[in-house]
Amino acid sequence: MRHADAIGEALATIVVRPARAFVTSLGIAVAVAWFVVALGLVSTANSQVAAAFTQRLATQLRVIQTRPGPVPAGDPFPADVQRRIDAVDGVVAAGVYWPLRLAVPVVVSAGSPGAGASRPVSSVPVVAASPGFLSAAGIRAGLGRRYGDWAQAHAAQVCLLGSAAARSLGISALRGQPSVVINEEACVVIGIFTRAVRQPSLLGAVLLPTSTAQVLFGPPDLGAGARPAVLIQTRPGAAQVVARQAPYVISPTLPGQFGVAVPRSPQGLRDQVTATLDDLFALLGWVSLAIGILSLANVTWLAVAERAPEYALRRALGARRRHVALHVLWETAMLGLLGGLAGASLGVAVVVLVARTRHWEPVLAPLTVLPAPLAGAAAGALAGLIPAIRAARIAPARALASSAAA
Amino acid sequence: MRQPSTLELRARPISPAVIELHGIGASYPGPGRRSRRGPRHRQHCLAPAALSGVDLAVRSGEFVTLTGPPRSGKTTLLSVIALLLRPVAGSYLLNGIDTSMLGDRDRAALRGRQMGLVFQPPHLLPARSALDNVALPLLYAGIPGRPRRSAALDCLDRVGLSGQAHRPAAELSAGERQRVAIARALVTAPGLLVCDDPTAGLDAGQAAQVVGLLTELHAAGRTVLVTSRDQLAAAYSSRCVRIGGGGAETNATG
Repeated sequence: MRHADAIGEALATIVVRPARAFVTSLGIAVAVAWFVVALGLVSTANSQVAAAFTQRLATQLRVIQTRPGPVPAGDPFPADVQRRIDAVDGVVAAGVYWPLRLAVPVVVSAGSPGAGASRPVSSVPVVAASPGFLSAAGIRAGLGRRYGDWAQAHAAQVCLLGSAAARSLGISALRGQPSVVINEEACVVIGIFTRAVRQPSLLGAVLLPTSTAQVLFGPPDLGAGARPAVLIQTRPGAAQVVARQAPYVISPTLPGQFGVAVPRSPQGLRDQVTATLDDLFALLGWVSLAIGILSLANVTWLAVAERAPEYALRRALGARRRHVALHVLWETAMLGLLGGLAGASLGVAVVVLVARTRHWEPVLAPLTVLPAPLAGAAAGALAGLIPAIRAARIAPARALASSAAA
Repeated sequence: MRQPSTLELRARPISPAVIELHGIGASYPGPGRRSRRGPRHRQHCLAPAALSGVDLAVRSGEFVTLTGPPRSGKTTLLSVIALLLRPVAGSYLLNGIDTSMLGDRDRAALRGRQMGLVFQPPHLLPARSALDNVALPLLYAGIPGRPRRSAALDCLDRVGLSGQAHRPAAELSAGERQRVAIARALVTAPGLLVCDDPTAGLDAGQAAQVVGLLTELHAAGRTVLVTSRDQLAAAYSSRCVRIGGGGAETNATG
């Protein structure tokens, strides 16, 4: 028997029962449609995902000491670190900061410094931050003003309150010169900031100059987790370049002691998100394909039983076991192909429809759509494997035996 | 020479005995085994009767009728002769070839080329045209589409059904279906025609037509072996073999 004839026989069998063929190939069609929709929507959503990542994320660097340097404890950064980093092209602002771990909670006093304590509040974190850090973190004073280089140079006992911290400390205005008592040391509140664009968590903190913190509370206590860091705000796109230069600028002799936390580029983030989506969709696709194959295999298994006399007749007319098995395989492969065609068409339609309703640009790779019918045919052949073996086992004697039965 | 080599086979001088059976014993697989493989409704059907110790020789050019009461083993014997069933005992020589030595593939080839089978009921593919049905054995012989169809058309013409060639088998009358089945048996140009009860279920006119066709083919030089429950076919045959209870064989010349 030639392959063209085998295909012809399979097609003839399908054509005489179009409704059965439709129902049988439905499972494969749904699975293939799912694959096309999943892959199509992922590629369509790609550009949308990219747009969701703002440039802001890619312009912040954080430098910390990752290996012990020559100074065993305290601030590992040189005193003029801010000036050094500002000199790098692409840097907008930079500054040192570290959280203070203090034994005595923050206490607020309404009067002038040292005028007696009132409510103690323990939940307010205190952060030492250089003036450059305020710019790098995008802190804008809503009331009063930020401290600047003068306060830093003279270790002035001043501080800034985040709006949330101010609320919990009971300070709503700067009139009467409120001050905050930190670890028995009073600092005058010179401003309350309502926005910290790039470090929103600071809205709940008290900030004071790093020089003041060093004078009042000593160098940062590394053991308590108060690790100093340099925050650098760069121009869009400059983050990667600045990240490579920063360790050398801070310490030309021992750049290796610093690590730079580089924000993942939008490309990397997008790839990651896409890969996650791909995995999820692909898993569901494989599951539905498995269901499609199983249902086709099941229907074919029953059909082989129903058509046993026909296969016996074909055997009696000269067909070999192989021929009968090929009939079944070609038939299921054809059904898979039809299912694949229908599924691919349906999938493309769904992708275009979804993209249209979301005002997206539908993106479909030819590599997704074109092999879909072939994948359906392969799935169909796979489904036909066991029924084909069953059909090949039908004894030709059944052709005459059923005469006694009929 | 576009015709298949079967023609040459037929033209070759063959041994006088086309079929030689010696002490054949055969039975169909038991119902338990069959129900496992087949659809459920077959469980309730009776398997054809078993045979034991059957001897039979059919010479070339004979018209032999096997008769006997229902469940006497006619169909079982025919299945053995048609190489559809392997006997459990005895030997079977087809054209001098010992078939017990042959594998499944060779048996299929012999069955396809040296004999034409007519079943009862005729077992056509109901949705396919008469032409497709007749052409089916040639498909498995590996004959390409165009010569296959022209050979099938010739055979349909021979049984007087060339006008119905493109009608689905399901639309044909019982007599026409039987003639299509005979055309299908002829399409490989076999020397031996094996028919299981070809007149069953036909009215007298249709039956006479079918028997007429068979005698015509016999006259053209074919060896014909039929089973029959009635005496119609027996009346035309050169020899009538009666199969009695259990499979012992009695010969009678018709």
